[in-house]
Amino acid sequence: MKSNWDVIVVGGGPAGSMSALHSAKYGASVLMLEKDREIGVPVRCAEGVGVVGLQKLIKVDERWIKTKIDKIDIISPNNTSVKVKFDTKDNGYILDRRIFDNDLALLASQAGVTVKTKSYVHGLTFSENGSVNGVKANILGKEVNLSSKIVIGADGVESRIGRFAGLKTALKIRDIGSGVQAVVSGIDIDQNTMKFYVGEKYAPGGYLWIFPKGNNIANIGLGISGNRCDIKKPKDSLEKFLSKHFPNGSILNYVAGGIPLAKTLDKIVTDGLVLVGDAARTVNPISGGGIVSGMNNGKLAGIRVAEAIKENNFTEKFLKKYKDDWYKADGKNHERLYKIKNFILSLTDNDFDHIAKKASAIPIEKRSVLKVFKIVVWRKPSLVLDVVKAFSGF
Amino acid sequence: MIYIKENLCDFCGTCVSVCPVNCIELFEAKIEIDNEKCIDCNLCVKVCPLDVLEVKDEK
Ligand SMILES: Cc1cc2nc3c(=O)[nH]c(=O)nc-3n(C[C@H](O)[C@H](O)[C@H](O)COP(=O)(O)OP(=O)(O)OC[C@H]3O[C@@H](n4cnc5c(N)ncnc54)[C@H](O)[C@@H]3O)c2cc1C
Ligand code: SF4
Ligand code: SF4
Repeated sequence: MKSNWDVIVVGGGPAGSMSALHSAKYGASVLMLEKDREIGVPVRCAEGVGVVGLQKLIKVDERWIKTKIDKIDIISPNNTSVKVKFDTKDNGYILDRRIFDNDLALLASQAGVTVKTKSYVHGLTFSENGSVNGVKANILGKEVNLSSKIVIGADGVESRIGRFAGLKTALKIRDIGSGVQAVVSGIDIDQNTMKFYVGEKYAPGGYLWIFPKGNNIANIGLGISGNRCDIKKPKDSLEKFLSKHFPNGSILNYVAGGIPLAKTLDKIVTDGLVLVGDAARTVNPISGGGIVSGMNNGKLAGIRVAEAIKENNFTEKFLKKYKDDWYKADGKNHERLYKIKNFILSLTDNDFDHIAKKASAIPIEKRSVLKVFKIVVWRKPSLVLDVVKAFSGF
Repeated sequence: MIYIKENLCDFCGTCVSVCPVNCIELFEAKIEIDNEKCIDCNLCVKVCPLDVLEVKDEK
């Protein structure tokens, strides 16, 4: 394998693959390194995506889709159910990320990217003027230094690559969702509804989800806000829920996972380095959804990185164009969502019950996510405008 | 000192994401904490979804 590249992407998730694909598409030589033995495995994800956002980014392959979602159901602590039906039958998908992530990496490789698994990056190298100019990696057990013009840190929630270059990526503990998830089979659930349970009982500062995958299988998991994990451990909480609701279900898969519920980092570029996806903290801080936003973010980065290679300019100043693109596309909205999330963290079980009662009084055909969230912020009118801007169209 | 109940760890990276001094290393089925660098803030212990980490007094 050659040791000089235009671009080295660290991490083979959706954000990494999209950034690699778009860098290569516009002419750069690209290497993508993934530490695990297989792209897309283990799946630390509930696999839910919005269809419109995904379709804007990529031609959707039916093989990626497990189920199509036409409604959501939010359950408050006293069991009040608030259902929201969508206009179209396929508003959301539950994906099979094992296939999906693999295909994205395959598309990247077909665009000219060289992909390597079992390849762990444990450091960066720097030029005399302090610009990032390569990675230190262990590739299939062999220590190597590889040089690059630009490194893309797509290393997910851990986000160590940025830290090697002095970017402050460590999350505040109130901004990490500590999660566990089981793939449960043999359960009788609605196949087209995403279910959410809010409140202290199972998921303080987060929620518990049931996302159907067809054939009586579902992703059932929960995320608890990091600063509430000492009250309730995610694994104990999920166990309690499963033994109460699905005592006879089989558990086909069980994973832990961290979800960055922050706003995008102030600094996601430096000389010779850009961060994308979870590593840049681009997850929707309310829903925890980061697949589509990470892909979009990765795409925007890839396009600017390719431009930087063409112009032979790898400075922070040039690469900042990517950050501006992101701010315009989704970043600004994420700031609004983050403000709303911080308000939601202050809500009690009584508040949730009150909100659910008011929301369920809206006739179902008139109920929308926007209307529900307007009720959520009823105590803080200054957030109404943020809600309107963030959720219009939902 | 942070003690790792290793057979329970799922290598999910939640602890890594909050470590203020970047001293946790995860590679495939391996987790290592550099106790020289660790500042005993215990944030990792708090956020681990599986309760894998434990604080132990240094002898
Ligand atoms: C429990 C849970 C449920 C979720 N549910 C949803 C959902 O329903 N919908 C949704 O949209 N999002 C969901 N998310 C979030 C979503 O999974 C992420 O936002 C998404 O995977 C981000 O993509 P990424 O490419 O940025 O990072 P990842 O997909 O995390 O990819 C990062 C990759 O980098 C690799 N890596 C890390 N460090 C190194 C290194 N040093 N060297 C080499 N490789 C490295 C990792 O192995 C990993 O494969 C969920 C997350 C969790 C934890
Ligand atoms: S948070 Fe817990 S389970 Fe996840 S990698 Fe760290 S020690 Fe392991
Ligand atoms: S105690 Fe703090 S410094 Fe030490 S490993 Fe855990 S998070 Fe890092």
